[in-house]
Amino acid sequence: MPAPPPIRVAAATSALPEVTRWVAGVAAGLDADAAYRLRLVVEELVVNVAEHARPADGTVRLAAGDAGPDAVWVLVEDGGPPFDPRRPPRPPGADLPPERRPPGSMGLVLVAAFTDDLRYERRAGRNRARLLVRTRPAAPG
Amino acid sequence: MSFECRWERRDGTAVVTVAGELDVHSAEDFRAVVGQALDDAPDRLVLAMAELTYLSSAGLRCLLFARQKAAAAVDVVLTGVRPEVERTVRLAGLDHAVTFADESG
Repeated sequence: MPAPPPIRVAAATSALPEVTRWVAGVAAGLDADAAYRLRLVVEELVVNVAEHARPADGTVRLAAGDAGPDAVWVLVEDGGPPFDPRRPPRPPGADLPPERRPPGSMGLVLVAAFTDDLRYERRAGRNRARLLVRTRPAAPG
Repeated sequence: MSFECRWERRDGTAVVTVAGELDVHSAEDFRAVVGQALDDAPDRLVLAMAELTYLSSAGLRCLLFARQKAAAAVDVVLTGVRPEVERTVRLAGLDHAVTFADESG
């Protein structure tokens, strides 16, 4: 099934329902586990742009395609200040146990764990995070 | 993207039952219900999560909120947690802050 065409959504949490519907189309060929991870990762990246980057044009662009029979890639692009989601700034309290840490850094931890590849480039004044999610073999046991 | 949250008192335990998706949209609802449950000064807080199908980082922050708002002596117990939700909790390192139990928890 071909991936749905790119969309541009408001860089706001109010756009998440639209993002979720779009991701469901992208994930149509994945198993339930990979589809769950893909949804969560894309939502976290959009929320991150909405809450931190706040691009001047107020939008995030999402594009996607197949990466073989069991994998998809998604490009999350925004015009906010440079931000590499693979190397988030060290959050305050990083040495504390999680339950005592200030909230806010957990989304990108999930992004790192749930993607099978994550690349970032700054091009023409825009952040371009390209992630890959593939159906993983069942874990032993 | 539905979410339902309610609580009841069972002896010393406050049981908060959550169903649907816990994310940026439902977080406020969850915090309000957990706040009410903890205001009732339970000995134990159970979050019954068998019908919770999605947990984002906003949902993780909700669990932190529950842990931090509860008195230190109050156990925070997650019951019936689905594997994908449990994995998310463990990845964030919050499994040290809460207890997992089966649905009878």
